[in-house]
This record gives sequence, C-alpha cells and structure tokens, in this order.
Amino acid sequence: MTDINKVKYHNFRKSKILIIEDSQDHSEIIKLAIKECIPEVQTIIVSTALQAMMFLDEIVSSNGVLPKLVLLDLYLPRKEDGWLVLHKIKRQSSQLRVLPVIILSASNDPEDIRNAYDLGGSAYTIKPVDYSSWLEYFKSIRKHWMETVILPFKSE
Amino acid sequence: MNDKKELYIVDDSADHRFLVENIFAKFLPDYPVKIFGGAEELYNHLILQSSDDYTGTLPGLIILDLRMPLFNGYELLKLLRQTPDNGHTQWKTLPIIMMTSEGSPKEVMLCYQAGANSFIKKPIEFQELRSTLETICHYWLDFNRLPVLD
Repeated sequence: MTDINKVKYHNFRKSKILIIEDSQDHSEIIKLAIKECIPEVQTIIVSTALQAMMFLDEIVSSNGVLPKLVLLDLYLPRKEDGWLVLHKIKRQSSQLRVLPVIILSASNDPEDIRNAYDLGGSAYTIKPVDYSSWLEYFKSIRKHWMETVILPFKSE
Repeated sequence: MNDKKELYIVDDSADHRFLVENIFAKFLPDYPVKIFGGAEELYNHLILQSSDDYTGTLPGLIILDLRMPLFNGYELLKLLRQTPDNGHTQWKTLPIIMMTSEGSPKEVMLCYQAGANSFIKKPIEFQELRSTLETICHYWLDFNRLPVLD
C-alpha cells in the first residue's frame, strides 16, 4: 500500500463522526450531505452540550471507540454552551483531548474565531447556506480530514 | 475570507524542500510560501516578527516536520503552544500541521495532545506531494477561517 492508502485505511475503519448541532433543520441537511459525501462513516448527532459530554464520557468510561472527528456548532443556542463543550474536550487531563474538533458556525465574528483556536479547536468553518454548498463542505471535509490527514488512532 | 497570510513549511531535507518549492512555483503560485530548513531557523524568524517594528506578513499556517536533528519539531510545537497570544505574535492559536515520513500511532497521539491541528504523512512521490499540498492550501487557506490578531 502507498502511504496515502494506509492513512485512508485507519481513518475510515469503524469510523464515527459526532455532530453537535441544536437546529433540527441543519441536522437533517447534515445527515443527508454526509450520507452522500462520506457514506463510510456512522453519523451521530446530539443537540445539546450536555448530551455531547454524556456521549463522549460514556465512550471513555466503557473504553469504547471515540469518534474520528467532532463538528461543533458554537451557538447551542448560546455560544457559552459551545465554549463549554470545547473546553471540556480540550482540558489537559481529558482523554478526549486528541479529538479534532471542527467548529461549524454561522458566526463570522473574529472574536469567536480566535476563541475557538485558543480553546483548542482544530479548525473553524462557516456554515453553508444551501444544500449544494453543504455538499461542497463535506467533500472538503472528506478530502482533507479523511483522505489526507492522519487522524489520531489507537494501534491494535 | 482570510487576508493573505503566508504558509510556512519547515523541512530539514534539502531534496524535499526543492520539490516543495517547485510545486508551489508551478502549481500553487497564488499561495505565498516561506520554506525553512529547521525548527531553529523558523523560531528565530518568529522572534523577529514579535518585535514592534516588524511590518511584514505573518504566517497563517505552519507545516512542521516532526523529527529534525538539532531542534525537534515536537519540542517547537509544545513551545509555541505554551506562549499565550499577545501583541504581534499568535503562537498559541496559529494552526500547525505536523508532518513526518514515518509516524507511529504514539507520535501522532502526542502531537495532537500537544496541540497540533492536524498531522500528515510526508508523501515522497511527486503526485502525492502535489495533491497533499493542494488539499492543504485549499482547506486551510481558502475554506477554513484562520484566527486573526486585532
């Protein structure tokens, strides 16, 4: 296998993507777009900060398989909720620290963008507005995060 | 959109740097790139940028070779992440992609834990290298929003 194929093997194997999104409409679109662009992965959608932390904590305590990627909507509905999730995932002691968290927000506020990186967010993306843009969005996510980047993984 | 920021690439292999330079010149001319031969060289440049008189462009993204003989890429990553943003420098929030020709799962984990934004395997073959650099430039410099210092 060439180098790139080994990367893809690990990234796609038993892979889950966690979406933290409070809007029902956006969740539906996201589910459809991921199904079209990254059909190999299992998509898990939660709608509150609390649900997100419970989901992740449960995996850690049962020594299960963590999602490969987390897409986090900042305003859940308040941005304090989003910051809370990011902070909890990224604090020093957390086993969740290695998870790449991609902020997905309608907010273009430079302050929000800086805070996201400061708290340990891996990337910051603006929410697409129509379905074809959502498809472009997840094609980019696939190309970069799933096919090019080595995502953290436990060797077996 | 992101204001024109530079992409920095740090790689201690002269052959590889030559390849990268050619790829950017030929296929990615719209992306300003600066190439460094080692972590120390990059670090000195970052120190220069932190002075109040500095008026040049700032980096928007760094691709950093993990293993370099004198000053290790991993050590530099940790050092940058420990420095809170201030004045001219935004080392803590600057997106950093680690790169290596051989990556063990342990090394990949350590880099993510230390605050790397992502991690790529150094492609040796020309087409793969070109494709990787194109993907990185498109994703980080066009699609993604970079942090901006006020």
